[in-house]
Amino acid sequence: MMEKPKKTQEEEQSPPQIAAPDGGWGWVVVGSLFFSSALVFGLIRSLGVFFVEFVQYFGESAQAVSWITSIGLAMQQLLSPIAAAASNVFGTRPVVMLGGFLSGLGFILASQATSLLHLYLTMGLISGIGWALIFTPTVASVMQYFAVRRSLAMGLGFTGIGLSSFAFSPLFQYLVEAYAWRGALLVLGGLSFNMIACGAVIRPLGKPNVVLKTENSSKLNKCSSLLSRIYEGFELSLLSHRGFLTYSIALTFFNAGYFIPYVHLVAHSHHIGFTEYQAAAVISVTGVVDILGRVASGWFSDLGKMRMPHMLVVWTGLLGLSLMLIPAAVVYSGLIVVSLMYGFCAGAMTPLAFAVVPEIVGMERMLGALGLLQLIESVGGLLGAPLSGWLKDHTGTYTVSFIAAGSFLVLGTLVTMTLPYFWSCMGPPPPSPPKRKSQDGSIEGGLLTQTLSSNSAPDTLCPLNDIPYSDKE
Amino acid sequence: MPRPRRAQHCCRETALFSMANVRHLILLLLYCDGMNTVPVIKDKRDKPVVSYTRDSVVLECKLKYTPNTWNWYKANNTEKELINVTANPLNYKIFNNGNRTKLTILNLSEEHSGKYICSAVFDIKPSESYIELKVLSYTEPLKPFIAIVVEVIVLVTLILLWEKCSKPQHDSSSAGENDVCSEQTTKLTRDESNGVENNTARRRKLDD
Repeated sequence: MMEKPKKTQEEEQSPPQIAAPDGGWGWVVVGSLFFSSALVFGLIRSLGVFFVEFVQYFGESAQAVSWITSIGLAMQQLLSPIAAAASNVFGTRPVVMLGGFLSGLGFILASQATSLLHLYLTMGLISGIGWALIFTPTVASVMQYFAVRRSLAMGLGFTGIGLSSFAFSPLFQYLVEAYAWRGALLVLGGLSFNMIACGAVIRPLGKPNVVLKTENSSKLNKCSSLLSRIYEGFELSLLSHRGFLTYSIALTFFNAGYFIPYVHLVAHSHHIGFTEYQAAAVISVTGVVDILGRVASGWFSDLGKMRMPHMLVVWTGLLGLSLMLIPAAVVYSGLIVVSLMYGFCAGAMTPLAFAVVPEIVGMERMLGALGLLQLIESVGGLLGAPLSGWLKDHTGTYTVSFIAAGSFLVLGTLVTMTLPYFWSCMGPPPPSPPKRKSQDGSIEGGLLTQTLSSNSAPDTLCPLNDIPYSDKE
Repeated sequence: MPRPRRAQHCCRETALFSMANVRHLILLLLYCDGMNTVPVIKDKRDKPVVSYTRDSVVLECKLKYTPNTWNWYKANNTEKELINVTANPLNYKIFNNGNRTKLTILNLSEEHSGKYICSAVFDIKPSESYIELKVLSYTEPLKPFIAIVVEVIVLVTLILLWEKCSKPQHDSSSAGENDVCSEQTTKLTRDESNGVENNTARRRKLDD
């Protein structure tokens, strides 16, 4: 734990941002992200087992029951800005611990449900709020802890989702058979409480943003300081930032297309005529390659050979292409190959989609940016799946749905290419002469980037020795 | 759906021998058909249905053909006991709908656990299938739940304690740490020239 004395020294000098340790305790925070993403998104993906039980017990239709997940996911995305704002004010640790408690509480209350409405309110609303309070702050914390190996850390953290999808389905099946759905929900609530421990692990790297900013400025009166706190907490200044707005539009398009194969691939395989086992094999293979893609893309992006927005464009372009190729694969081996490509690219783009945010908006506003982005991109998710379902109902096959999904991704790729500083070989200049001492103590490095960025080369692919990533904070 | 293979073979062989009498043959084939079609328990998983005391449960049977009537039995060791709805209207409800039947048991208690048999009565012979019901008390899932909650509490406490212990003395104002561990570290890191006076003052502060 060599970084700790260094950290306390830096805290006493009170710069606004702490240099990322890039290791040490950071890996523990990555582990926290691993378990949190497993217990949030892995859990959501495996809830299908319960839906069968709910349909039988409450006598409702499958669509009415599927609203539970929709409400939960919607809460998680819509409340992200609030989670980010709360973290800006109180720090990430208490927020994530509260989120862990709420998500467990929702499931515990759900075990006592006597109607579907109760399930909407408990499993959907309360747990959804909990998930929102967990996910965005944890992601932001990982990004604060890592600068050079940010993408790799994110990729490793997100592998939790893929691995838990494998483990949770049989586990949930066993719980339902042993304890019926009520007992199973109770046990799952307990499991979700583990996210409180995940939150406890996130040691703060410095004081929360809003606390710092209000300390530095003089308080005129209580009202204006409260408003300024809210403004700072939500990072509403981002709404006038061109890069942020561009990226949020791109992410919305990505979201519209990204989830469609998860929903439709199995049905499409059946539709073409493959057996259940073949379809299940396709999904499993896609899942495994997804995990590999996350780690590989994270590791490769940290090597620094290409700029992150360029890599993101590569992966999303390939993803869109593979989505459009899925309907063309009529032979089983062809479908497997295309699904492999789809899985790898889908996994590869995930850590980059988050890790590129600090490069666009800067480290200080990263937390608020993540919250707002989740909110804006949820629109894509809410529109994408019903649209593809509607297309399928109208045309009879999934071909048009997949092509639409692929074109959403390609559209997002094109929008990403209009990001400021995209076509330059160097990244955006750091916001001002460095207020913080990065690990190399590079005041010279900061000036160097400013002189270099003025002569931007119009190549999309850049030479190997790019600026060191430590300056991109 | 598991069809009893033995009955099928038996039926086919018997049918071959009875070719002489067509009427007999037809009756025999109907009988075989009724035997082969065992009623299907909806979503049967070869595992017992689990429910809780004071909760209700629905057991359902489905068949390809519509029988004359449906009967439900509860198996007590070797004998079957007919479930009489009129005698027990508060506890049992039977809803028959053509080729389906639903038995609803309300106000479950642990005695309701056991094997339930749904019987489709045909002219020739009734067709039966069974399902097992297990009624648990609420303490069953509570055990793993409490175990997990205890584990979480222990984990969180350990994490927070470890952090307080491994932090070097932050500043003397953060004396809210009343751990033995931090007391030791502050003792070690303060210079030894401070006398017992300082130690007692610290101990008094920590006792707050």
